[in-house]
Amino acid sequence: MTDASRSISPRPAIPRFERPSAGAFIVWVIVIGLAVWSVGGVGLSPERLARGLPALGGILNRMFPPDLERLPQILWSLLVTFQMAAAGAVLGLILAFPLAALAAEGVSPHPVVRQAARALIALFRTVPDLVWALLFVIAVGLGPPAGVLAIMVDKIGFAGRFFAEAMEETDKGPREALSALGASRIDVLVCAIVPQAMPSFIATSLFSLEKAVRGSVILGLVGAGGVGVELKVAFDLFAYSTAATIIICIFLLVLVVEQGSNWIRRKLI
Amino acid sequence: MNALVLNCPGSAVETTIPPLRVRNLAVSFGAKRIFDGIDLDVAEGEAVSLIGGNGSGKSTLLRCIVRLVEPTEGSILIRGQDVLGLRGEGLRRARSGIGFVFQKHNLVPRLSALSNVLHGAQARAKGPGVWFQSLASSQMRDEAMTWLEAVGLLPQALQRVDSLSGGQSQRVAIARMLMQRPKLVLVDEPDASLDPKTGREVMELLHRLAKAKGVPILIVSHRLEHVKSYSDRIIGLASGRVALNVESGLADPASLRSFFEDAVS
Ligand SMILES: Nc1ncnc2c1ncn2[C@@H]1O[C@H](COP(=O)(O)OP(=O)(O)OP(=O)(O)O)[C@@H](O)[C@H]1O
Ligand SMILES: [Mg+2]
Repeated sequence: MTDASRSISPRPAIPRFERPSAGAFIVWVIVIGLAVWSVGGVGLSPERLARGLPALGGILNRMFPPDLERLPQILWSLLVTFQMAAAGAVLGLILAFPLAALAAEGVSPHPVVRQAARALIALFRTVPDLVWALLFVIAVGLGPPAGVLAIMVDKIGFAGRFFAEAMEETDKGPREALSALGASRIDVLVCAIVPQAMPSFIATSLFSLEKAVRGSVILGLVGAGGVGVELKVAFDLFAYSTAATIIICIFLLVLVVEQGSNWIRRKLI
Repeated sequence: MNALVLNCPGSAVETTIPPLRVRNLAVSFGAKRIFDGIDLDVAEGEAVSLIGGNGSGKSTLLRCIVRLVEPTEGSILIRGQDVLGLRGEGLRRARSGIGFVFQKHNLVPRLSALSNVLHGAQARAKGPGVWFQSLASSQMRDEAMTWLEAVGLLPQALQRVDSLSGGQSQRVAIARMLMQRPKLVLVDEPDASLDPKTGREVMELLHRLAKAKGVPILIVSHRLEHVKSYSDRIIGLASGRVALNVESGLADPASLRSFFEDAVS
């Protein structure tokens, strides 16, 4: 039967690649143009690279062997960095949850509230954490508290967005079923949305923590506490072998946190 | 209960107020008219089947009754109370009395069967005690267990519902509905995605429980044999109207079948 129908009406050949539309073509031209223009604009010429590489090699050379003399202080501020990251991430995640609920379609009580919550999350997310750190250093002074606040705000922006998306993506059926039997808005959030979105919440939370640990190192550079301060001082004093120790320690911390969070992810999801 | 009489002018001359009375109901989605001028009553203790082809508006009609869909016109009286004007707490109270079993069981995945059944009490109790079985009072847990037992799923009480079979899930959904202590039960093709035997068992269970409690039940089904064996009366929708309303004993099988065939085509 299939043979017969095929012989009557031969299948038309389907092109392997579709011709791009005029719109798509224009977009490609713009994207490639932007890339070329940007590379040219920052002045990254082959000559500069050629001059820079030996200098970098020189620094690396002076870094080894790493100087372990300040290791106790370094480990201590590394711990502060981790605490800053953990405290900032946890506070941020706790505050991100209600804000995400207000921002999620179908959960938010009113469109005006939803837009306001979304705008706030977008603001927290789009301003870089380094800028928040500068602001908080001015507001609360140098040291870890500024770092914690900066990480917290950044994580509200990051997790708020993904929490809201996870809530919106939950299956509508169970939500409707609970509404239809007289559940309140809170009941529906807690009983139908949170259980479904839990794997996504956990993944986002662990990723927030990893991001916070990486980010908190940089915050030290603007005076927001932690091992970043040590790193800045070491570079300012041209103590490259001490800097090497710090960088290795940071590398190990990030590695440990990522492995730990992978382990938690496997256990919980 | 005074509101009862006020909301339903006709009730004064009638001996009983039906548990469900739909009058002149119309629904449109945008410019698309699904149905209008729908009138139907379900009497105390009665089992009514609602039939009609795909897209004839059966689900939409049921969804109007629990206000998941807003009708454009008409009234829906539950024991004399017009549910279309209700909001907030009043709406929650009205909804709590209406059990709804969906085509897709609509249980909350990742939670246990027992927690899902417990949710049925959410209109009459507030807070963590009706969120998760681990936080529930022993009284609530006992009641939920009773309903799980009634649907034969006590051994699966702590099993996650996403690990249950289609028929078992549908039975958990029935237990959740029973937990509401409903005064009216709406059933939307619970047998649609089940094999014939399991589908029949689910319908049988629903029918038996509703009859045992004397609760009126409105069933949407696409299976002629279920329509005939599990209802006292059959209402057919076609072209946005009630095209059939007969006692199932009097329904001529041939015309019923043709109704199914006509509606589907
Ligand atoms: N939220 C909605 N928005 C727009 N159109 C809708 C919506 N819900 C349902 N419809 C349309 O309303 C019509 C009736 O749908 P409904 O689900 O009530 O039919 P049904 O009789 O239950 O059909 P089936 O037998 O397939 O379950 C369909 O054409 C459907 O596409
Ligand atoms: Mg339907």
